[in-house]
Amino acid sequence: MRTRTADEVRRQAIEAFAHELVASHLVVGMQPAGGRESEAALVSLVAALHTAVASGTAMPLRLDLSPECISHQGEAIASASLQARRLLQCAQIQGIEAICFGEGLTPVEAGRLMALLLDKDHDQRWQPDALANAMRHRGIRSVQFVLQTGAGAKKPNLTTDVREAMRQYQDLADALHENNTLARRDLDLDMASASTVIERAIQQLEVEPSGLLAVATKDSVDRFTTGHSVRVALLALRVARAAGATRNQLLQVGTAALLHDIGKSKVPHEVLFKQGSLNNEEWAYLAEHPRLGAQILLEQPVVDPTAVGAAFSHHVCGNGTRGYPRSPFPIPPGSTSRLVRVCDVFEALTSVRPYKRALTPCEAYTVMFRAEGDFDPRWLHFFVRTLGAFPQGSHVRLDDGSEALVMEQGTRADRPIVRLLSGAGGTALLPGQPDRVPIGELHEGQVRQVAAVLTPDRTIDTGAGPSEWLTQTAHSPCLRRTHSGSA
Amino acid sequence: MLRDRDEKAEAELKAAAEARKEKLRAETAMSSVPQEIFDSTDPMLEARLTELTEDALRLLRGRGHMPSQEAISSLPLEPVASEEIAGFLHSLASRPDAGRPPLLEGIENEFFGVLIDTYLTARAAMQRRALNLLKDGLDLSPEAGLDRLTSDLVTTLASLGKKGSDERLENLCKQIATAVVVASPALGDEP
Repeated sequence: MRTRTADEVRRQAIEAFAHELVASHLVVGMQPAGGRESEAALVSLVAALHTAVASGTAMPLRLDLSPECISHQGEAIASASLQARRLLQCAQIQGIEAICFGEGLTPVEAGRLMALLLDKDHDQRWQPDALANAMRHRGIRSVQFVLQTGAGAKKPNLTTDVREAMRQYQDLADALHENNTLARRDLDLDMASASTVIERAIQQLEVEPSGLLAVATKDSVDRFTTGHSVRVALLALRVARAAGATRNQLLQVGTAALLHDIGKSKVPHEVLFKQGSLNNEEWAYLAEHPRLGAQILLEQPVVDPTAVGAAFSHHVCGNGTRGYPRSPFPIPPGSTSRLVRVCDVFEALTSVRPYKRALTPCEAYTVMFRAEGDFDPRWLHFFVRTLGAFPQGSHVRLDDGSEALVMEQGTRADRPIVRLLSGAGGTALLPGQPDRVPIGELHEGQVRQVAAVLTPDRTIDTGAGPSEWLTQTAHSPCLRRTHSGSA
Repeated sequence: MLRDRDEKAEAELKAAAEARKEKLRAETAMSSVPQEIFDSTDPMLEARLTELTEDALRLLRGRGHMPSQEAISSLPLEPVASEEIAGFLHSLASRPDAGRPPLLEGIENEFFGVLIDTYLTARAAMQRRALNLLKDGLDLSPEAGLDRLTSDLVTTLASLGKKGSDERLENLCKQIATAVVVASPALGDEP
């Protein structure tokens, strides 16, 4: 197994710090000041800074805040930027170009920094003197702001399509975060904003689906499970579209999928952040989040039955007799809820969590089919056939060593059309080199195959030849691992 | 002075490790991964969280190293043998294509079910909201009681006999079921 270089270690530590910065800003903005979760987030932020110091990162650590992303030395930090809309907006309003963090930063000081950034009374650009006074007054010594000048900051290295996909994803995450905050405070949800961002996502998925789906896999800030819900919504839209949904139906399905976990915002912190294992009673409370979610949606001035159903039934199995919440009588889930359930479990299985690794799509399908009765078989089959062995947005390595992004399904489930990210052997793409390649077909004098699937933490060999899926020929492993111990 | 700084740093780092542990605990509890695959009530989870946080603590104290690829590889991974994947793909290929599943099917029944569940399980204000939505959905006047509802049903049933419509019959049955559940004192307090 390859050892990471010192540069890679440093880059990862800086990304982790940016992640904690975004998470702290979100948490402190949502929680009451001094709340337990806010304190924990600020401590994690300081811990991440110490990790960056330990990795050899030069101090002070400067993070640039452009309107679309966080960057370090001109390199965009996409993973942390996907839920950074609020932080970036704060920075733009206050005229902040960059924040430099010194290694003496403490959680208390970090809390004061967040309070300064979140100060609703200061909704204008800082003047240098006023900023210096405010910093001194609040006792912030280990942090320096770099204010915007007329010259304009250096733009981070993002292509136009990635920038657009990031913007779309940030819109979705921000709308959901806003609604989670409103739900937690017992206020009416902003259903219009949820519909608007879903409407835009539908348009984007029609024009260029792979960019948004690929960006979605990079979201590393999943406090409040926002990223999970956004990805479930994108999956549901993708599958519903393939099922022939009209635009109006897509809007209903997408909104329902985006809000399916809204009930989690009402689970008390003493249960969520309890020291030690949950007892049966606490676990039962946690399992109430679908019912709580449905009730939040029922309290809205305009009630959306599809969203209510998906919030209530996304953990219900079969005809309403298994899963949770337990109802006094079986409630058969509607079609949208059954689709959301499939997307929900698939997303959980294929994403990395701090406590588990990601499965590949084929591995996740196999696991889900072990418990086929827990899902609507029609949706499960259709889901698998729609996404294929290499879903849109998947990162793959081809048999000539080039890396590529899956753009769309090809003629067979194992033959997608990909966009090259690098040339043969991982070299840079040559100018004018065609970057769209149909897998398994003669293209520019070459027939290329997918050699490996790259998950965030694994490289899985697909075997020598194409998979047998949908070809109905002999048994042949679709995916063969290169790493020992994972099978 | 240096010792004070070390002690302070150690206290902060312990707090960081504890915070991270709590965060992991919350994430595991909220996961949508099926319980058969990853059980957040599994006693081994605590050991896993402790291990992860101790690694972080060692790293933060400057005595450890960044988590190695090996360490990341040691995170739990649901075992799926390549033969099982192959078998699954083969069986999938051999099944007939069932076509496109219906969209937005069963939404109304599910919605009425959720409303009745809410009426039976929620607090008083929410119960009233559910009851009002039920009445709106079934096109009943807000003051309609069981007698009035029954009378409406009898009238509707009589007309059904002449026209014979499955959809109307289903709707009628739903109304009866709803009325019985909502009006039953044994199942819930009158809001």
